[in-house]
Amino acid sequence: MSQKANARVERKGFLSPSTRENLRIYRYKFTRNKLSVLGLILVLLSLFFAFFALKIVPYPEHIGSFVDYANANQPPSGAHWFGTDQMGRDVFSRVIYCFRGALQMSVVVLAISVPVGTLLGLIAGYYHGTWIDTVIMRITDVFLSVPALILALCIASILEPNMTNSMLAVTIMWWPWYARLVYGQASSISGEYFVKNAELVGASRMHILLREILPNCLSPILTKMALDVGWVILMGASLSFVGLGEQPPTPAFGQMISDGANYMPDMWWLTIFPAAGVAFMILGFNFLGDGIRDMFDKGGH
Amino acid sequence: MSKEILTVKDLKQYFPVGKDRFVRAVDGVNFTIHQGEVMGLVGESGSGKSTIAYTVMGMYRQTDGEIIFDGQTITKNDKGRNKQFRRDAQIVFQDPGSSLNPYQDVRQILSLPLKVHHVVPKNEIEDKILEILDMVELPPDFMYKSPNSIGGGERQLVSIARALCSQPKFIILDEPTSSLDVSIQAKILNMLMKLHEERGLTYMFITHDMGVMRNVSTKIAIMYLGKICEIAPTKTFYEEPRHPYTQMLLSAIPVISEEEEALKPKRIRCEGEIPSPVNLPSGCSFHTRCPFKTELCTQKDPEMREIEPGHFVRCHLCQG
Amino acid sequence: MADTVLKIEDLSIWYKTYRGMSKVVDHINMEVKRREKVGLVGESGCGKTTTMKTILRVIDEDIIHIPNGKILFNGQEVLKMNKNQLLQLRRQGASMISQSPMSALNPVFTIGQQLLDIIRYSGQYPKASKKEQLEIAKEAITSVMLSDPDRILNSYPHQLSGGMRQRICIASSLVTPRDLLIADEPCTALDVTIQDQIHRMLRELVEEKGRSLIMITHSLGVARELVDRIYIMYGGNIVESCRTEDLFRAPSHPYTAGLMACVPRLSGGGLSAGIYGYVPDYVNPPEGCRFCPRCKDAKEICKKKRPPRVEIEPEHFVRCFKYADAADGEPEEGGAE
Repeated sequence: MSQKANARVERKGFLSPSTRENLRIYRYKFTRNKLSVLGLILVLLSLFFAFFALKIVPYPEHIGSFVDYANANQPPSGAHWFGTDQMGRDVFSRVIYCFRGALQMSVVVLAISVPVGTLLGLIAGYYHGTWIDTVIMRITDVFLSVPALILALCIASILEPNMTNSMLAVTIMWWPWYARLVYGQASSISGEYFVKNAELVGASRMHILLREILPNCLSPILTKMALDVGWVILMGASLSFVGLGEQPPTPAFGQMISDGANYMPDMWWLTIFPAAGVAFMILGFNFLGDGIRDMFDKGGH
Repeated sequence: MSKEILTVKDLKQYFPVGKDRFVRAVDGVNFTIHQGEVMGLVGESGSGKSTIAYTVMGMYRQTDGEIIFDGQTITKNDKGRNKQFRRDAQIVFQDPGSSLNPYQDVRQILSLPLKVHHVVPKNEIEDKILEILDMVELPPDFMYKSPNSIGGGERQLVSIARALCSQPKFIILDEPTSSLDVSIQAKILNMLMKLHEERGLTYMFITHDMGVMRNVSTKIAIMYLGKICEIAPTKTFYEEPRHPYTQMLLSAIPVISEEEEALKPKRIRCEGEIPSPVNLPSGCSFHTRCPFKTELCTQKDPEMREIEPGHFVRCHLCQG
Repeated sequence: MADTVLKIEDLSIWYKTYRGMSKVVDHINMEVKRREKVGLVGESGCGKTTTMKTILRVIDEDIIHIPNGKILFNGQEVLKMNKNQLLQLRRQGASMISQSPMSALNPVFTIGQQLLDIIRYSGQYPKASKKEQLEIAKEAITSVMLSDPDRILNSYPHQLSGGMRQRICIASSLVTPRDLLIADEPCTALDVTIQDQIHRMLRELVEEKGRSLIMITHSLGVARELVDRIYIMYGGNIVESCRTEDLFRAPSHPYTAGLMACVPRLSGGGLSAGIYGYVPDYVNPPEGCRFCPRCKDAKEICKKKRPPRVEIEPEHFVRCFKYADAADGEPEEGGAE
């Protein structure tokens, strides 16, 4: 018993240095590229905008159906940093609010497509070469063979155009990428000797899939997730650009850009600022994703 | 003679490559390992030594032949291995890098076999792990280390500890030290031999290092292209090798003393390379490289013969 | 001077890591004479390959730092060479055979194409026609004891076995007259019977063509068979250097002796206990002798001072306090980052 107690005490003493060591390696690898740090800052700002949109914008009421023709079509000024639109609404407030919708979309899409894709990929990868693999991966291939945006457009246009349906559309075409990614990883991991050993010992399938193989797939999944947030936002913006996303008067990036495009180039602020907002988020998440990839990169000193 | 632990009878393991073509990785192998023996299995890469290990463990289903483990016969119709087998027979793999899951710590790695085989009640698992770590002389704080943070030799000790968890009778060691430096190799080998003596374990020791083999095994089987060429007690094997392939292999080993130099067969030189196991040569499979080959060797595959007690040779030139 | 091909003077190589400088190679001295076969023996992670890559400057120079030392190749300083001189060195001066014959050849070109490129760019045969170049390539293949050179020239690397590929690598470094051949564990991935053949061939070719050879290996046995002089490397230091027969007659550094005891003998006699411990941490190496934490004969002085290089008999150098007065020690330098 005392031996056991000793070991418990030792855990505190021994685990933390190695964890700290790991964290230090991760931080070193992440911060080696300055763009990753920039990405992290952009992402943190995006999160801040999304969560506190209503608290920080100067004109919270301008987000909904608000009309003030006296101040319509103003260029950027001290009172309206990004100018106002044709109904007199503050573009800055509306752009900031768009961050919320965009982030919400990517969170929902990834929260559904990542677990689904991962699970299917894991199973197909572990049963590599059997009929299970064939069935899962051929279905995946069918989804992958249709251009993503076209498929999402079809789904979104068949259904009623709103935010929920556009999320659904994007989710349906997003999981196959994860299935494919995890499949490759899992099929190579399942050839490793520690998996063979677990099989020989007689461990359950569940244990092998979730405890032995899955943890080894996490780093590419995380990397892809960080990169994908940006792509989901872009996809959402594209859908809303053609009117298949969030419906007015609630603002969304794509919808604002497409509305503003009618007034180009005279009222450039209507298009440029929402577009900059999209670019802000996508760049942020892409840089962050690159940083995460560097972090998990095995090589390097 | 003590009890037989593992008997392999006419074991064959073919892998299909394309239509009607097979890699004959293991092609009719017979041997017996008795309780408390350390049988060495040597051969060049591609000779099928690891395939035998994997087939015995049940990673592949044998094409033909019988495996008799501890009195229980496993034929080609048996799908898996039963719980008793999985408990009594263990394997330690060659590559310490890939044999431990990098995302688990040593405690998780060692607790899997303990849980699966219900070796001890759940609340005693940690105590048991400490006991097993002590057995392989690793300090208790290793429990919470990850395989990435420890050296290659220590990783291999953890693999050995994992094999010991289910209290097996028989362990297959598949090149356990070939990727380690000699100074660390010595430690691992000593540990294995200590466990062998203290716990009466039986080993099948696979390696290509003849120097290691000389010092750990009690008998040696040498493989060439899926077949065993010669089986002999260790001393005989090194001092009176009979099969030309054994002689060739022994003559090729770089050694560090005159004493060893004297042991190397002088009348043979290494020539040629191991042929593809898909297109086996006719007759004796070694005849393409054998300096003593006769007409008969190219036509007829020799039979295994016992030329003196315990010493089997499969060669036309050594008939008694 | 003419009889020294390579001379390394007081060379240190540091890697830049997230924890600071990793002092992988620490003040080494080495010399290779013309027509001499030299072995560099040490366990993995002792800096053998790093040193050799630095000689040809094929190491990623962004991640290393060379605080001191000189590499003289035929009297020219390698570390100060410009791009052209470096090309010259690699094309005509020295060549290296890597330990993995699998990845040393480009899988999408035939052996013939790759050999001809080497012959063409070496600048040694400026006037040779394509046909003559082909003859040179064939001759090279025959010299490494491969029959049927025509078939080999038209094969892709994957169609050849590991042993054959390693022979091709050797052939490709022998087609052009160079002074130095560096073989980095050329046979670790191969079987002993193939290893034996390749070593035999390597020895004959090097002697016949009058090259110098540096053989990097972890196996004392290989070194004993192949080379005239041995450098034993441990933890970035050269701990012992002498003629091969002297080393096996009287291993003098405790590490060498320990290493030799570890090798399992073909004549039996049981196993040794091994050398306790692991290779040192290069970011914070031991203050004194780097082998001191693992050394059975370590004394107080070993922990504090770096042992000097002592000549205990002609051409036999050892870095150990066993053979020196404590006063001769040098303090470890460059301790700060």
